[in-house]
Amino acid sequence: MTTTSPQARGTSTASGPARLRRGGAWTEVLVLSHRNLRHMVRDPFELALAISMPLLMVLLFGYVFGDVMSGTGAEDYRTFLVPAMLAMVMLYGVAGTSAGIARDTARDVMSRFRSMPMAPMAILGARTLTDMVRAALEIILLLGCGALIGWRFEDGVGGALAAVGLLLLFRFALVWLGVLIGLYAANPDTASMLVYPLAFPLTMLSTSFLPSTAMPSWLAPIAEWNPLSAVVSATRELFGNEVLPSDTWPAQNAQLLALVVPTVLVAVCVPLSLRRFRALNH
Amino acid sequence: MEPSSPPAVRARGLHKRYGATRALDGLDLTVAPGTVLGLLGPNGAGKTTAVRVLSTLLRPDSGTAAVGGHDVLTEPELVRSVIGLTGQYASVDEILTARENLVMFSRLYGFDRSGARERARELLERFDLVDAADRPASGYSGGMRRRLDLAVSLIQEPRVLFLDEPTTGLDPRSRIQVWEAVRDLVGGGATVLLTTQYLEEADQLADRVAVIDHGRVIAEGTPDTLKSQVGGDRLDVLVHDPADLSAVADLLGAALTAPARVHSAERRVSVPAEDRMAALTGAVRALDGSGLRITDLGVRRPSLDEVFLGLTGTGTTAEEAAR
Repeated sequence: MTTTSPQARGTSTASGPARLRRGGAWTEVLVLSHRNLRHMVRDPFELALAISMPLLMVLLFGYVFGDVMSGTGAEDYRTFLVPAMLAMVMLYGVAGTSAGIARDTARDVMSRFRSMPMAPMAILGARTLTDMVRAALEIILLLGCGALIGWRFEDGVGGALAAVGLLLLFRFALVWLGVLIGLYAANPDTASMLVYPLAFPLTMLSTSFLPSTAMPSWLAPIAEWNPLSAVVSATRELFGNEVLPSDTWPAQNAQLLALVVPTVLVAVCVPLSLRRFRALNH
Repeated sequence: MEPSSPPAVRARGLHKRYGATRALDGLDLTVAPGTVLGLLGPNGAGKTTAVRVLSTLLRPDSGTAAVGGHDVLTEPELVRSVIGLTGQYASVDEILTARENLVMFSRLYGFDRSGARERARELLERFDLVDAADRPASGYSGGMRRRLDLAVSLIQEPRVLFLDEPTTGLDPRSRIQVWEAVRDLVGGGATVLLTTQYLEEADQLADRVAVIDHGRVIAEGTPDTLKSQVGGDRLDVLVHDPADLSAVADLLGAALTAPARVHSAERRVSVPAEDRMAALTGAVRALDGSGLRITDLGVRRPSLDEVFLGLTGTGTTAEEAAR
């Protein structure tokens, strides 16, 4: 992210109105984040969908299949699903990120930003900040919902905070995946339409709802190695919730994978996004 | 370049290719401070490409350009701190209200919170948007949206304003509102580079007009100079009965000692008129009492449309075909 040179600052003050002074990239990020939050409040459809779908799935799966799914009792299966619900909401947020970026980088809007004495990169910064704030609020809201159906964290505050941290890391990586998708998408609608068909199978082909032992043998390794499974398993472990017994390597090392996969995703998506962003409109 | 007043915009030999298309092919432009240059050309002539290069959005393949004395290639930050840009399509935030848009962009231009609110209030009043200030921009008419867009591009009081087809798609009333806003600006000392397809717009607003085609300037001057390049003033007489056309032509030709032409399709006789008043009085005297029925008579100057069509050859009017 670039800030203006002192020279530019001096000149714009001298030539423009006296009050005009560059606030720097951080102010720009905050101003644009404020705008993103306003969009979210005035056009809450996407946010509502991203939260209600996983919530609905947990309630449906929990209450419809609950008795079949759990040897110990339906309530245990429902609380078992809560970490899966959190990971799903993180995943579905990609739609909002990519649509937002596609909207902000449409040619006319970008022309406006790029013709101004500001750092256009602030658009990406603001999107990241907004979506991380949103992710934190989503987690709080959904943990509240989880508590209503009997979910508790069983492994102390430290473990719970670590679980939330892991979810936020996952979300951070997904924000940058969403940025990348948004930068390549032709328009905001395509960007968000793209996410659900990709995210839904990813959710089902994981150990979020079912143990891999319940799947056909050719499908089981896919579910075990699915990064979403690692995030869900690691979150369950850190919350002290019930974990599926499994002796596979990815299940044994879920926390490691839940750290490595998002880190790799960030390492790949951030430079690609920045490169694409700089090349826009040239 | 005059040391006392360097041009507000100066472009030399700008080239930009897109594949086989030469969007700019050696474009030269100079705009004096405090004046309006109308960049006139058909679709695809390179008008928008020129504006994008000058407003630092696009790097040319070769050539140099300076805006407000700053080089667009080496000092884009400085250029951005003295320009305003309004594109072909209004780019304001549709979900936000006019006031929120103006406050947000003012903040991005560097105003502090209270300064931004104050600036927004000033601009809402100036662009007659006070009543709609707190409604989302998505519900605005095309003209209101364009005025808001113009207001946003004036937040930092730009020394040079680029208007890329500012009235395309607007109804006549909104167009006049935008014109008035542009005149106000120029009255305040701003330099404006305006692209347009509407010759009337260039005629109304521009001090000088540059006609561009295939990425280069093919004619430049004041609207009056350009019009006289195509041909001077002329006297037009419309007759009631087509049978009288040749009689009227003979009469006028003799009275004004100039070649009279007959345009039968329009029942019109036209004679070159170097001296407008002499031609008018001469024609009236000659026709008075001749018994020939005249429906209209007047001296007119060729429109910029004729200049434009003559220069770019992008079509012919019935009038040209008759000439």
